[in-house]
Amino acid sequence: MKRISNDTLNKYLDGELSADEVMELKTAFSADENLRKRFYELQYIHGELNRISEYELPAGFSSGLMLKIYNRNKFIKKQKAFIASVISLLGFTVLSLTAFAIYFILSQSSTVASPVVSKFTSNMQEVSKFFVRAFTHRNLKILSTVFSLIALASAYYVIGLRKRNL
Amino acid sequence: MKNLTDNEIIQSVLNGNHSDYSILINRYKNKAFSLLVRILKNKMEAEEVLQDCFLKAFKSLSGFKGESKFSTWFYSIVYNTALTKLSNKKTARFNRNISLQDEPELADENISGSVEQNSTRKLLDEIILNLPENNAAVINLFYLDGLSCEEIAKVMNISVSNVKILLYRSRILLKDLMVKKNLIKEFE
Repeated sequence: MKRISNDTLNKYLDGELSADEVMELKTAFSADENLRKRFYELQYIHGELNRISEYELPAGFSSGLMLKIYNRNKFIKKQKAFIASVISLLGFTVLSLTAFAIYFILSQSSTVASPVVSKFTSNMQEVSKFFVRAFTHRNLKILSTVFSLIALASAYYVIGLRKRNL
Repeated sequence: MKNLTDNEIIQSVLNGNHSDYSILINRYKNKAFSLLVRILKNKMEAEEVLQDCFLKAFKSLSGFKGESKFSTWFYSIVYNTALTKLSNKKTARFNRNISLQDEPELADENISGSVEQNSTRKLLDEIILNLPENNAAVINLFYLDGLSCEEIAKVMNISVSNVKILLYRSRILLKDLMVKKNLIKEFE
């Protein structure tokens, strides 16, 4: 007689055998007590497995997790606001410098100017002189130190925020 | 509210009602926790990994296209995170390249108690905990989570036929161990 494999018994258990194969297996069952025993044992395991228990999480898991998610969202909002303000500040600085540079070029190239424009030009020249004085070698060092400190403080703020909320 | 389908809840979360995510958490937390305990064999680690999984799923919820069920998608996150955790620990017995011809060894020495002291089901739980990770995962996904072999194949990223082989082998392993421990009544 053909040896019935464990795979065949498993397939029978899951209803995956064809009608012919089922007939063949049933014939084998009636003739082989050991095969019947093997199948009943497998069926017993299948039945027990259908009732395996769930592990329960400690109370407060969901609320703790939702708090983490809430903090994370809050952090993302703060981070977005921080990045937007930095970009706005940078954008404003760049735009101001560009506008000043354009004006300076135009004022230098114009030959005839109205009294209003002339007054404005002289004022702007004073401003440009101020900038030239401000960006001397020593002041530049101070400015770069201040900007570096601001950058470090911002990075510290962002990392701290991240640690607290993630 | 609790009768909403997974997809309706996801849509609500994506629309900004983040608190609705707690419905999904409550719906899947214990099943996913059971899967993790059976893979990682450690409840504290399983809880930690489960938190990561829910956070990961929340972050990538907008990427969930609904092509498969949320449960299948979420369990694949859980399964892969568990595997990463195992490989990080370097104590993993799981080997992705395990030959399906190899019979896994069962560490049955940890199974404690006797039939008199423990119910058969409790002992069965302990025996499942001692199964290799992939066998335990298949058992959990098939019997506890009620996933089909096709869905398990998606979760574990293996073929359907390999899922069936793993499932059959796991049943036989459990049967042999139960017989060895005299936990199966005589069938006459």
